[in-house]
Amino acid sequence: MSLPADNKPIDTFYGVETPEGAILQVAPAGPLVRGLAWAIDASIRAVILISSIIAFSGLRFAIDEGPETITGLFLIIQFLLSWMYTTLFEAVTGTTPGKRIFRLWVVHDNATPLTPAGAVIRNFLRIIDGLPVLNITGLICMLIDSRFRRLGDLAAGTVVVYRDLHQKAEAFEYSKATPPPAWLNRQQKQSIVDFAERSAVLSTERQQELADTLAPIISNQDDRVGTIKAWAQWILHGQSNAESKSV
Amino acid sequence: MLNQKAFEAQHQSSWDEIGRILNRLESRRFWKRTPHNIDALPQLYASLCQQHAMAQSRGYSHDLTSQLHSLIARAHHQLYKHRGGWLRRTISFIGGGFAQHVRNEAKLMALCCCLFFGIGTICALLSATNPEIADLLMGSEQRRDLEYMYRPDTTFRSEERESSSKFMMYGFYIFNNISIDFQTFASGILFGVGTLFILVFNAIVIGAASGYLTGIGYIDTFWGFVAGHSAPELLAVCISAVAGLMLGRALIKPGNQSRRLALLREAKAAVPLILGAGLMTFMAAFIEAYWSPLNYPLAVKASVGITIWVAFICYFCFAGRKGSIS
Repeated sequence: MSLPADNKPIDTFYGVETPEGAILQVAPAGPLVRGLAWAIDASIRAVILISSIIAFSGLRFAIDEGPETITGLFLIIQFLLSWMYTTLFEAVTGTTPGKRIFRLWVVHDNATPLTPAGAVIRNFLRIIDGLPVLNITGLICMLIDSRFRRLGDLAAGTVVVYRDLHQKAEAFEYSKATPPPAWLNRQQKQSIVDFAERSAVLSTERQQELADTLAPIISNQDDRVGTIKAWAQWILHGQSNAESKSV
Repeated sequence: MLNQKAFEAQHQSSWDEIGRILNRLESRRFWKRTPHNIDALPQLYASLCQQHAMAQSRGYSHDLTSQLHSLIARAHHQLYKHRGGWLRRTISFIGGGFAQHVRNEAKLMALCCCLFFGIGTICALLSATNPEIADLLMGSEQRRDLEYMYRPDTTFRSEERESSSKFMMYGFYIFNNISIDFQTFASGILFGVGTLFILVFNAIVIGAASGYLTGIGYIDTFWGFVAGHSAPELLAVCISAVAGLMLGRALIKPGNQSRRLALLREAKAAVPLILGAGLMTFMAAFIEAYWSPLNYPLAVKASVGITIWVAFICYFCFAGRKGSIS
């Protein structure tokens, strides 16, 4: 989400403006995690196929049906697994069991939910992405495209993204609140608050290291981390609130 | 300017509210998915977007803005979701929507039918007069298999199939024939070449087989068998080819759009065609497995077959003429 000086994103995120004027951040998933999700889906399909063979063979002796009935059922199941498994899962839930494990799902390019038509296109074209073996066409296409879309995704206008990136940080509270230097701009204040909120997951040494970069503007050189946290507390709560708390 | 904590205190209750509504809407148990205050969602969502923008412009912490962003993303997903009406849409699709979509691509449909039935007829005529050409077109092994399958005097054909054997063939026709339809569609993305290849290849094999078997006089068994399911099956192959060629057309002749946008548009328009073709092949598989192997006189089989052809042609010409495209 952060932009370096030349305004080119350093990650694969992109923003979509909704009709309500909010910018949705979309995080496309790369080939590795999608490959793993695919492998899980493939194994689930294999397990279903094998267990249905076993179940049908057992059934055959139980109900005295000819072996042809079993073959027929088997062929129908194979058809459903090869064409309908991913299509139906995605059309109904927007994701497949394999993708769900990695918190991935499929949305359209404009971040709207996947439509059934989109699910049909991207999954029917999967056989072309699978050519000649092991999804090589799809992989090459994903590596060329900035949003990791394979041919099926390009035709359907879809992208596989991480679902919900937000992880709730622990609530930050600090016993002291002191005003930061008045000349800090909004972005710099934001960085200070971000540091404070992130401090819960940083080791003391790392906190110290990060705080040291602000050494030139900190007066209390003995406790730089504490000073910055006190600033953050002041920025978050404002003077009056913070003072009443610290009393 | 309001500091962050005061801002949070002011709006926390409405964020909790929207969170509760979303939790219910996202519930995996469908009977829990109707929150009583669902009408409040659009209004809450609109204010949420505004609060998020405010939080961003005031430089509140990333934790807060990303928390609001996550709520916005979830609400957006629910509000723009495609829902309901499955049954109604399926019925209106079968009742005429499908025919409308096929008529929309009348030129491509004509092209595919001409290619498929034209090449098929030529191959049939050649193989009927000269068995060597039949060998050339479909391979001698397949020719011998066919000859054995449709021999009028074999016990194989004189007795009707067991019901279990019919079911096996049903499974096979579904697996094999619908897969071919879907492959015909998908390979259209290779600039249409894949689709044309599958279409022509099938025309050659089917044409050669029917010509050859007619030539050696297996008319009752062969035409009696294929008459019933020929209409849905062959038309479905042509419709799948239309869907595939639409993908190819987007790449070859994108018009005044980029190739990517043209592909998006054409692929979306092709979906009803390929789904309809799949449905027709599914019907054909049922007829092929349960009606076609019955031993009725050729006249009965042929008249049923012709009736089905006429029914399908009428469907594609006239169904859904009134009313807008679905």
